[in-house]
Amino acid sequence: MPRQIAQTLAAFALLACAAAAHAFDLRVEVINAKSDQGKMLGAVYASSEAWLKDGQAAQVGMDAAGPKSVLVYRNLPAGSYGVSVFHDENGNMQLDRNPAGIPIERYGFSRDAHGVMGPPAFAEAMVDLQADTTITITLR
Amino acid sequence: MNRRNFLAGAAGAITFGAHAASSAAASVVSDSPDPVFDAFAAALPQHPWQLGYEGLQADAEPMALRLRGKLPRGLQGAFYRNGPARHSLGGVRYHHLFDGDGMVQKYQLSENGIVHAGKFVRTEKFAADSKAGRPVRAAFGTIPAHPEPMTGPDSLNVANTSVVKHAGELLALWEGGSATRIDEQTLDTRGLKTWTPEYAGMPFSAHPKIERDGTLWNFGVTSHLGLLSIYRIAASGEVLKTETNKVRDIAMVHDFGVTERHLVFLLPPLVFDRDRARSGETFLDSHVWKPQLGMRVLVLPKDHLDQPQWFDLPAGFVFHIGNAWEDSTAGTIRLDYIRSPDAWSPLTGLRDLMSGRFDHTGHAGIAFVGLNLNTGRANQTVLQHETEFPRVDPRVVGVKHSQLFAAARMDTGPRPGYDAVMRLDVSSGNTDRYRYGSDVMVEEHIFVPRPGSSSKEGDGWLVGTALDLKKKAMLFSVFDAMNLAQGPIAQGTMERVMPLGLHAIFVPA
Repeated sequence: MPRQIAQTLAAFALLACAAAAHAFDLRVEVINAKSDQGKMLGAVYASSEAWLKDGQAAQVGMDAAGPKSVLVYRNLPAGSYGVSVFHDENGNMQLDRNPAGIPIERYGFSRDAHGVMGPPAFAEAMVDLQADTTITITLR
Repeated sequence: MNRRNFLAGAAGAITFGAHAASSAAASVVSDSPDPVFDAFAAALPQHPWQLGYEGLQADAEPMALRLRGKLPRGLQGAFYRNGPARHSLGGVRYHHLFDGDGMVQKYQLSENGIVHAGKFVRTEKFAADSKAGRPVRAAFGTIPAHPEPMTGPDSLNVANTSVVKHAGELLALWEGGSATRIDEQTLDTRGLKTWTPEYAGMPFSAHPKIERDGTLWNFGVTSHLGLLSIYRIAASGEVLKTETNKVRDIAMVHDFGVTERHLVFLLPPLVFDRDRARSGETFLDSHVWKPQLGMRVLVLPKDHLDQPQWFDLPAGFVFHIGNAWEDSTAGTIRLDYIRSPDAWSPLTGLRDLMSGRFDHTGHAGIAFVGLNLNTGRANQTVLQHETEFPRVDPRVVGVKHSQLFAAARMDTGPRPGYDAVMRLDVSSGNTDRYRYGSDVMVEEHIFVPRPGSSSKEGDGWLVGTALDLKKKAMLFSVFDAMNLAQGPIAQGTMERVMPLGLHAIFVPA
């Protein structure tokens, strides 16, 4: 994740320089954290090809954990996006899992999408960004 | 394989510990009408035994039993039983006996007699199904129409199999997910038990073993990843060890044995098949009977869980182990278990009950096994007593025992279940039995040591419940454990029917 953040921040800087006229902010409000320990980490993806792939996020974000954390992704070109977030309670920058691979920290996706045998598909989490937009994700 | 490897292996995606939840397979409930619900209702007038599987929709308010005879001085405390109790909801009936929501029942024994109460465990699934007015979460042998997504095994946890009291906590147990904390007075649900943050949501089986020093051992199977997890918990509740290892062709494993130095697992050849699970079969039907594998026996040294020793027994099916112990002079582990020739019972028999069908039993017998640790050879003899729910005096768990108690089938007529209790002297093969009668369906009976007694094995009582089909009443019976044939020395009667349950414990006052 640290490497991913660095790469994405670099990409973000480039994008910011080249900010297009049709760029909008996506504000993500995250609720239902179990505690205010650690950080809320999130990533926004711009395509199904990039969805949840390491290093493929369009932007990442971080906020303090609390009753409502806010992650703002700025200057995103108009288009379709999917957001994933998780509550990094212990601050190790990863979504911790039990030995069976089940997350033991809370997480969520845009449109509160659920997967069946894994994470939801991009299409299920997809948000159409054509204006500055605020969405809410309820962690589970 | 160590835990780190598992984490790396699972890191690519959020993988979930249970089966797919959409399919057109046979155990998927259609919208309406439900043929299983209708079949059960249609057969009920002809089959009194179905009363035991009808199920409840509400908690059972406290009710006093009418007592015949006198409770022994010293037999005071609470008898808890767990079992699937809500078999249908909103006109939809589960397809398998193991699907229903767990209810913890309590028979409180005091100087004032016996008082019964029962409460459903308020699991996440219980709440979700109740809110929807029909099952919306998948179960062991049933996938409802339009199932809700799940976040892990505990989304499907029905906490319906057994209870354990350890380190001051009463826990309702399932086997696919977490234990659930229960208030031992009110039976209210207190939430999931998390042993360590890292093991949150890991499976914790319904058959933990408590050794004489209070150490609790348990295991859990994560079928789709082929993982066997082990828990070692001190009498204080402190978690001494959790470890997870990979097991090839992981089977449906319900119980295990614990000796002074080893953990013993019998792996019947009812093997989990990931492709079946992916295709949308129920968890039960994701298992395939592969008799060519035989019944594999996995022995793990307590101090070297990563150094397994394997033994082979003829193919067969097992739910329950009576006891296991270390015969040091012979370098042999000895154990007894209830053995069926095949998995007909979980795959068919326990499913048929839910439609009001009964053809025959699973032909279970009592098997005695020796596992020679030096030669790697296993031997087995089987006694043809049709029994289930084997129990021993808790003071001999993991050490040599001489008495095995079980529910027995003597002359039930054409109906499922048991009509008797039995004590088997395992050295002589002699039996001591009490037959309740064809109209009485016998549940698991358990041994309760006499307080302050000599700690001689067998010094105590056998207590348990049964459903009297004629009286439509529950019986709570107390036997002198070494003389079952003389019949109950005290018996309480309660004129209401409770769903036939699974496992019980006694917690002394």
